[in-house]
Amino acid sequence: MQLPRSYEGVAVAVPVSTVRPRTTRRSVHWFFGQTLDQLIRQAGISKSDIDGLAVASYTLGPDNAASLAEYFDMEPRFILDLPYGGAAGVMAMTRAARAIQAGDASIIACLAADLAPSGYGIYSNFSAFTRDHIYPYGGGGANATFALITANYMAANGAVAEDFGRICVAQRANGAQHALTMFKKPLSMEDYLSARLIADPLRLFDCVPRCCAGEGFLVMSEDRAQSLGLPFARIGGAIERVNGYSQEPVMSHVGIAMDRDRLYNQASMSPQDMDFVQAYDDYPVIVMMQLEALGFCGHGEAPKLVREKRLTADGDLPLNTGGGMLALGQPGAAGGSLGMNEALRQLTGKSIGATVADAEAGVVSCFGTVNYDRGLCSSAAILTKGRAA
Amino acid sequence: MKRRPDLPPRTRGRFARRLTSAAARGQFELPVCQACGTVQYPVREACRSCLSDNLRWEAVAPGATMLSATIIRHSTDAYFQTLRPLGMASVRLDAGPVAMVRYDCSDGPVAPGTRLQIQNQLDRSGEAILVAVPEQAKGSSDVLRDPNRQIGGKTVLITGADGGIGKALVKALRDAGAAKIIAATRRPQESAADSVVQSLLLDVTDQAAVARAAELHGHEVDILINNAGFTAVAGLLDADTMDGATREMQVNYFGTLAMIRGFAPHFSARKQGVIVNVLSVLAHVSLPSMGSYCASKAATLSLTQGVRAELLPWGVRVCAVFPSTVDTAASADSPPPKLAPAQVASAIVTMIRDGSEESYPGAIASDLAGALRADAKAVEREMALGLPEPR
Ligand SMILES: NC(=O)c1ccc[n+]([C@@H]2O[C@H](COP(=O)([O-])OP(=O)(O)OC[C@H]3O[C@@H](n4cnc5c(N)ncnc54)[C@H](OP(=O)(O)O)[C@@H]3O)[C@@H](O)[C@H]2O)c1
Ligand SMILES: [Zn+2]
Repeated sequence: MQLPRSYEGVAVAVPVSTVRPRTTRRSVHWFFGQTLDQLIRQAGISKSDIDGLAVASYTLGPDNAASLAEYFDMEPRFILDLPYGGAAGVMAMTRAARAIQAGDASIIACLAADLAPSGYGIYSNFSAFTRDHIYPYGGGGANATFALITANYMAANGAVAEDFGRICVAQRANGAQHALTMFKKPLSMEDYLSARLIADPLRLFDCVPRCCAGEGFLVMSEDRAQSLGLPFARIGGAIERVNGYSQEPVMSHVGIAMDRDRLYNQASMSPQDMDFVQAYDDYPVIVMMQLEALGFCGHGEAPKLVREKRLTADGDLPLNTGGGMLALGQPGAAGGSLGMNEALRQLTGKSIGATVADAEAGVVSCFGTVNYDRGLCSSAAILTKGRAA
Repeated sequence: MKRRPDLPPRTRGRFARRLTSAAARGQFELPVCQACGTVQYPVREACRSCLSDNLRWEAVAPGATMLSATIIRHSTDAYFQTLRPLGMASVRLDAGPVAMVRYDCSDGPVAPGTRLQIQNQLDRSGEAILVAVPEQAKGSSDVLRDPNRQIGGKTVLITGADGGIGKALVKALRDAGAAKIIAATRRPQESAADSVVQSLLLDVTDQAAVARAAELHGHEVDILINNAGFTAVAGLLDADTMDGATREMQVNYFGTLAMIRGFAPHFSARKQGVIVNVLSVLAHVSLPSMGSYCASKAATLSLTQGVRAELLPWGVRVCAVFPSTVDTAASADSPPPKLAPAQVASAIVTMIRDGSEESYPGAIASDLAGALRADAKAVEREMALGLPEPR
């Protein structure tokens, strides 16, 4: 197997998150500004030390990474825009890591921020295929698309509502302990099952609440992280896949399922070595597909897996230990960085919620860019605890 | 014009909007790659398989198999919110690709594997929507729940109601369940009115009379059928005077325009209503032996397009029927074959019910329509050569 070059020498550090209101009268630039400000303060650097910007947002347009540089009076020598929503977190990190290795930049801020969309017609122009062939069919948004995927998965694998409910209940239990949670109250299985249908078979708690927020982290060399005295994580391996399994009539895999062996071989690890899984949780069926893709069970076996494992932070398969978007809300494209930041917090001993004891390594999986009838982008990375040399 | 919230979205790209052309005729066409045969859906301007841009919109097999179905109970669109719950599903088209469709969810989600038939229908905004109905279903189904497709219980006004096609229309609409038919004629009728049919004396060239009729009946009429027509049967140069040509324009063009100007404001105020113009295949091409008539129908076709565009944002449908020769007094001197007036009437009933906006009843008209789409110039020359030898 041809493995990509290792990510050695690269440090990922300083996970930051802003407040997360459900609505706001502020512009998305404010959330970017708050994110950047926290990064600088917590890293103990100045704005001019940041010479790379990677930016993900749905609501920043027509602005972009370059206009943000002007907005914040910065002069980066490396910029990157990632309009890939939930898949952007890991994608930003790996691209930034390569730029650091190549010497194209020395400290790259990976920023993601979005406002919660509101009002009618919010999904009408998401992509050409959505505009032409999805929206005119009822304006059901992503809920309708993932309802079709969920119904198909249930029929194929014998999953029942409780199986999805287990994921939601465990995440809300994790989330209840998180400093930034939108819900202090845990969710019971009864609450989950009795909630109203949104798009059959999806019920209310299968769908994540939207919010406005910014998320960010820094990528730099290990040497730099150490000289700044920052705790950091290393990248053991990373994979991504766009438009994978495109011939499936209904999506039943996330694309990275075809790249799993490369991920673990690059890190010289196996699924058993993972102390936690942070998986993009726009809908629980996608969490199941990620668990399958990452080798925690076989294809179609996630319903059985979630029946057998305890998914809370103190369980035998800690999943979305911060509560995921189900508890922290989905801030548009910044939702793709939630898993990254939660993994960084667990690995740098900076948890602000439920803590996984002695976490040494974990996997972060991202998913996004719902275009026609499926999500096109998936990416995953193994992160390990960084130690002073 | 800005979209009204009580109409479906009209946000499609130009290429995808081409789906509408076939839907207007009640047909299902998709782009097919001429290089490798791949059927494209979602529609693309380059073949998804071989990248050729040589794509042609062609009729494709209407069969499909259900993959996965949902019921949308919450929509991000104001119009769809009013129609919930809505059935949406993904299906595998027999033609190859996977397509999103609307289906009737009143009996719950349709099971995977169910065989279906795809209909390409116009929604209330005039956009094409793929609708899945049971494979064996006959005729068109009202999955899109458009009040403009119902005839039962509606009030219909028909001009020229004592003519050949007019009489057939009165019968067909009565059979289709219309609650009230206002049969407008130029001459007083002997046959007494009954519980459904009511007569109205109306010369469509009398603008004051048309305005009065609209004032009197505008509030109740749901479907207006502009059928009154006049044919001089003369060439443009062949005729001794311009009287016939003038009268054709007055009845066929200005008469139709006056009727629509009278009734359309009532329709748009209610955001509902259907206008059917009885045109002719000769609206598309000139038959020299009746050149001035063809010109009047061509003018009325242009009128049809114009008022359709003006009324589209108001939820008012404008349809047209394009018959070939029909067996009535107006075409007594024309050679066979001729359509029965009842065929034209039933085509109009079907058009109203299936939501399409153009109907070409009978094989002659539909073949001619196909020939015109393929090569209008060739049809023009064919018509020209059909003239008797010049004297
Ligand atoms: N027959 C064909 O081959 C053919 C083919 C294509 C399209 N069409 C169209 O079909 C429609 C109906 O024609 P038809 O074949 O049924 O011919 P028809 O039997 O001659 O009927 C024409 C009707 O229009 C009425 N009309 C004429 N001028 C009028 C006016 N100023 N105000 C009100 N009503 C008036 C006539 O009433 P009066 O008898 O009192 O004049 C008659 O009721 C016409 O628009 C015609 O152009 C006919
Ligand atoms: Zn091709």
